[in-house]
Amino acid sequence: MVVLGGVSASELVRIAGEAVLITYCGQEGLVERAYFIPKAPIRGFERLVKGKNPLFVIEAVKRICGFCHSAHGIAAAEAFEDALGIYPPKDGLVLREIIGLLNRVQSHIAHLILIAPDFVRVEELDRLFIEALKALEKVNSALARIGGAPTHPPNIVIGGVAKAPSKANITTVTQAMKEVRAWVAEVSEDLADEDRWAWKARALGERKVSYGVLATHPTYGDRYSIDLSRVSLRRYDEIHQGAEDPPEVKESTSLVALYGGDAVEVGPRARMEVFRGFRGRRLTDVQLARLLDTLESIDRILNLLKEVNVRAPTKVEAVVFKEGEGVGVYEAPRGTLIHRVKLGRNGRVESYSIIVPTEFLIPVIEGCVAGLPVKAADAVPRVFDPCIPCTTHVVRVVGDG
Amino acid sequence: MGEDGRAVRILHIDIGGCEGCAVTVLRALPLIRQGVGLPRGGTLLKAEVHSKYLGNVDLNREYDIAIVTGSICLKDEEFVEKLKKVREISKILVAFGSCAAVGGVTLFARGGQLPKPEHMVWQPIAVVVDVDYAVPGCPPAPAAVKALLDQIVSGRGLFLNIFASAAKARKFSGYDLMDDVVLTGLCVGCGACVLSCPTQALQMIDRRPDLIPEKCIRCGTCYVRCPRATQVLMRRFPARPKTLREVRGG
Repeated sequence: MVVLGGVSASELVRIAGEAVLITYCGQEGLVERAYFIPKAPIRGFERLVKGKNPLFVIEAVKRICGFCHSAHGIAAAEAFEDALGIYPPKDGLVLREIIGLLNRVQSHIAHLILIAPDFVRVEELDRLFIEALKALEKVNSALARIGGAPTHPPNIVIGGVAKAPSKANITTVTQAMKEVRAWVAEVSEDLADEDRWAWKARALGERKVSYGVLATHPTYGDRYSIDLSRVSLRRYDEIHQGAEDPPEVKESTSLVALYGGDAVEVGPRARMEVFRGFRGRRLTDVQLARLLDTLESIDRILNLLKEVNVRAPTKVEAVVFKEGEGVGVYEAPRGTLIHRVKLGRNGRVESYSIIVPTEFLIPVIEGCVAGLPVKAADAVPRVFDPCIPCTTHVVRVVGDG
Repeated sequence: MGEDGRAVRILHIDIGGCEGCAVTVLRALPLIRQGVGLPRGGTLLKAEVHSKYLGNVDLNREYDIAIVTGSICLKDEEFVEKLKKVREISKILVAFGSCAAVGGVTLFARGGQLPKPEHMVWQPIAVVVDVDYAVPGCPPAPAAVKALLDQIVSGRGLFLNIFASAAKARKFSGYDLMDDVVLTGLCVGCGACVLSCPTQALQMIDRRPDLIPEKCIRCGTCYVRCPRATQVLMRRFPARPKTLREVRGG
């Protein structure tokens, strides 16, 4: 649907979840302002876990998202461990990092399937689609071998990882990930070739991202690399309360996260810029950085697999739940993810709060759409890989400040 | 089989879950693309899949089979209407995954969160529309999608009766497994439930399963995996499975 010099609203396809993009554009068919509005109903995990045993909570929060399940699991485990003052043994941390990175690779490949039509010409699409699904199956099977399941891996537990994989599994996973790496390297080269880009990618290539970046760690997450007091949450209709804003802003089922009062970019491009000196700032570079992030993650997985000692302890035995407060910060596939927990005197959850990367990305997406041809506008949310299941299931609790 | 030779039109729609099941359906695509049905001694039909991930969903057309993932938020009118619409345009409706089939972890939702504190009641989709098959699992394997589709198309198979009964039951979990099978002494100690549990909430103690209650997320996977529980299920909720041939009037 194209409306020159008018407003258009379209339900976004090929993203994780339900959202609408509303664009206002000028006479030249260029977008003047845009609104990215998640529509999926809110499951409300922060309320859902209140009063529950941490054993339930960690399983529940993995189910916030079917794309970044392990990221939520790890952030939650870190938060509980921080609250209880425990630290997993070395092998537990190594395995946990592997599980998290496998999830990152899995999510990036799944996203590649969704974004491919924006980057690749129609004739190459089918082959890429089938190859990506094959690679995804290899990663899924690897995650099942190390994490216990390809989705919502049960081996992520408070105090470490439930059990070490067998030597045979490590060999199989190493082989599989080498194959996936070779394929991702090939795709990265193909996608970097601007002559082969579809027209939407060429439009994205003309536009630069000009926001600050936030990333805490290249491969895991670090609660000491972020100033949590600078993170604030705002209602969507608080940041858009002008007379010119459409009535739909009230329908958004997500909040917006700011860092130091400003919109910041999180995710693979931010990680690459902060930790690897990646310079590209075009919108297409967000996708290219994601592929680099995938390759780096696989390299790290392959190195970590060599370090695993299958006989060493992987978790703290006999964790006792007690009063405490903790924070877990983890670099999810889409960016910095923050879980905060407060345990009551009975060792059960008194309050829980989660800030997800897509909440940071909403204003960034809206800012980047402006100035683009309206026909290409829907590719912008997709290139940032928003995760609607995450955003609409974790928001500020009414009355809890 | 006359007009049965037409491609099977399959719609996949997610109405509010974590999308883990939606990804499972996506993963099953290469399998489904090879055709659905039984290759030997039966029909093997082409399949045409419509999904948001492929960007080709059209709710103004009719479908043979709709696969719905995610549970329904009863307080969100837009999605309730959407679900009803999906039922209207589909001949057979499959609730795929625990949230759609039995509510799963979303049953615990209490609402009260900004910006929509009223989103407090989440239920399996059978509460709103008639469901023909319900497949619990958090998430089920991609092979489960393919197997069920094959059986619906060919009109025979063990899954049909189990999942048709599951659609009527609407509720089961680890607690029900304990109540109906373990505590009644029906359990044969095969361990299928322990292997199937996605949260490792079941453990084997003296060759009998034992539930760690705080880890059970009410997904119901163990119940449909248990050879005894499924017998109980099919007797308690008798259902006549709908097949493709029947709905196409062949």
